[in-house]
Amino acid sequence: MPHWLAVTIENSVESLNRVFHLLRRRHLPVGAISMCRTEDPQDLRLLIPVDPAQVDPQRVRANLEKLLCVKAVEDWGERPLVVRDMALVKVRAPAEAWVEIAQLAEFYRARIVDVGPETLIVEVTGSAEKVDSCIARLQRFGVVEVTRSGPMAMVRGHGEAAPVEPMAEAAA
Amino acid sequence: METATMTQTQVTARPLRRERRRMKTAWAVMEALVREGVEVIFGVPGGASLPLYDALCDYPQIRHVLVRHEQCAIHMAEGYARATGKPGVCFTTSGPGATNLVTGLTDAMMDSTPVVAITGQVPTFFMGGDAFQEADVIGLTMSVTKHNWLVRKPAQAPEAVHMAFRLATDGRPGPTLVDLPRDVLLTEADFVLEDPEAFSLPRPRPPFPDERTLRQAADLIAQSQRPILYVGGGVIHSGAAPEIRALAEKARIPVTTTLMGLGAFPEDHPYALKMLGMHGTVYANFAINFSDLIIAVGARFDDRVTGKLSAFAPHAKVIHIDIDPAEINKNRRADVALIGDAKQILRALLPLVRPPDTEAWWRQIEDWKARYPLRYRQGDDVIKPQFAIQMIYELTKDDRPIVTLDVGQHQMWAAQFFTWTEPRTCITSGGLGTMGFSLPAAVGAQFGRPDRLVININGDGSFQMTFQALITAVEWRLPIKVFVINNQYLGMVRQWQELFYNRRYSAVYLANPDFARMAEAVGAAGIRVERPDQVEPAIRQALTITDRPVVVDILVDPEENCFPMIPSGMTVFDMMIAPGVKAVP
Repeated sequence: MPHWLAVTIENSVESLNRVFHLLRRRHLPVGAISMCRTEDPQDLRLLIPVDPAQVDPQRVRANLEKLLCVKAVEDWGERPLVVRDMALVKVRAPAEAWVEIAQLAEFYRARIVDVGPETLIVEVTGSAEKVDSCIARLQRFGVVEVTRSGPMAMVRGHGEAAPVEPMAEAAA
Repeated sequence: METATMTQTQVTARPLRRERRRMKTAWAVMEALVREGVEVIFGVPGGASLPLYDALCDYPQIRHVLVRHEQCAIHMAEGYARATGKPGVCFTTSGPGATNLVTGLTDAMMDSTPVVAITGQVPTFFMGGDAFQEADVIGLTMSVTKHNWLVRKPAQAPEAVHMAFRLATDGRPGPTLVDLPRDVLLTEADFVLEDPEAFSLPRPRPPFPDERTLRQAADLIAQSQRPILYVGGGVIHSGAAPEIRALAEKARIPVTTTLMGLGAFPEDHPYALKMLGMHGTVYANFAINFSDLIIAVGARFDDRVTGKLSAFAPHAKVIHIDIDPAEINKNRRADVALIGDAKQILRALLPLVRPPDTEAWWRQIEDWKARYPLRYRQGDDVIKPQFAIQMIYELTKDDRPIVTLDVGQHQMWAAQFFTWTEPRTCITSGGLGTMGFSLPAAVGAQFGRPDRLVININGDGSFQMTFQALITAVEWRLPIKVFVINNQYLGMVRQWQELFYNRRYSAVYLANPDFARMAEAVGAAGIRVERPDQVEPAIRQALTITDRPVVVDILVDPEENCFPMIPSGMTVFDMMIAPGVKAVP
């Protein structure tokens, strides 16, 4: 179960570079970072999963908060989240396989978004496990290509996702 | 020229206030520097920074010190900052000028030294195209500055400069850099010139520790039996030396300092244990390792202090006082973390502190002190480096000199054999260990403190890395005393090869020139010392020379080793006081 840090930064390549530079320079072990737009076009939100067994999330946070381009670090910790991953899966699909693929897609509440002469593109959204499972099932037909978003996440409920006060008692 | 005239008017019309003026960006940058109170800039001009140097002609109140290599410029800025507490400033051009700053910026980052580097950049329409003297300075210096700014539009320039000063001194100090493309510098625009106070950093500081956390710390102190204060450079940045002393005296706690903390607690005080760590005193290392409470103030549990981290002070709880939240739990877990300015925190903590019973602890420490004093043996023939350094101390201490130390054996001996009593008097490269730091740092320190005697204790290896700073010192007639502790080796490397690499000496012998004659060739005074009885007269003679720098080349025992020593990655139980001899608690 990762400990999530939601990091709001200025929407620029330079800011992204600064964040990645810092994580690399400090050798802070973090999981796959995903990046999303937010309601404010001037912001980017990075979702950084941290494994507390590997590194103290507060250390990652304290380092990030030193960057001038970081506007806020929200410590989502292990709060209940809605986490969604999206994948586009191009599957080899002769006409006779269409029905079966369509049924499988329906089971995963996925959609067929493109029909080519020999391939279909399936769009699937959900938890990482669900997306993994869907792709695994589609392997049987021959997966040609996959592109995947990485997780997008939001804290459930209202108001709980306000920025936490900067670390007061790291060691308490 | 119109701009120049206006500038002169402006300079005399203090205090500065908000005003609108039309000028070229380079002049607006100079205005921002004036408003920040900059009195001296160290640098070298070049193509991309020519507009800045053109503008400099209109600001005679800012002295520009021409260096012979940009590394000297930034070390001078560091020396100025460390001696005064104010940010040091340097100018370079684009490309090689800026890349030559990288070592110094890294050094300033590691030792939390506030410096502001202003670099020229190729014009914006060339950027990214491998133009002549183009380097990706923002990318190159990203990890060795607190932040850096590329100014793409004239209006951004004054703000970038002011923010660079704010950030360099805010919280944990450090280096910042502003990169200024030539076409931007030459563009005329309407500027709003502001007072520096108009600029503030966007983020709030961490909240001051609450009463409950302060009480937890006070309780840990009251309950401890073997407490120790472990004091680092942060105390000097914070100006918290009086509060450290008050805490030590109130609670009767021994005090050890890091290399960066030398001077934060007077070593002639009975509670002083002097420096700890790899080449620290035996008693400081025993004391911290057998302590049951470490009060770390502005220190970061560096590997040169802890040795093998997992075996360091295994029975100690830790109160960690630091302004940088990212230092908490970085190397050593804190039982109580107090985040904020050391001076303010200590002031808040002091009234809550109740003295623990440290009688037995002091008896133990006095025993260690009696059994393991710092020592060396000076004979009649060869000069021991420790003797030379101790003589320098004895003959200059009444002048309360500011001392810059380079990196290596002489640095450790000076740390050991000087009695450091005052903050900002020991200036050395601690974190990065930058050979060549100390001579330019001495020049910067002398510009910052023209009223004080400035001494540079250097090694023969490190002296040759930035020798050219002496030329600048001669040009400005700085009466800096340079003592080269000359063992004709890269001494510390030689020592490691002797102790840990089976005496297979590899690339450590230095075929040195005659440093005294080198000094004379550039217009400094030069004295060469070869026998023990010449040391004292040479130092006395050097002290009489006040119209130019003097280099005293002291030929010392080539194979003297620096002890005590805890070998890298080992523990206090491996502490050597001589080859093959370990200290026993």
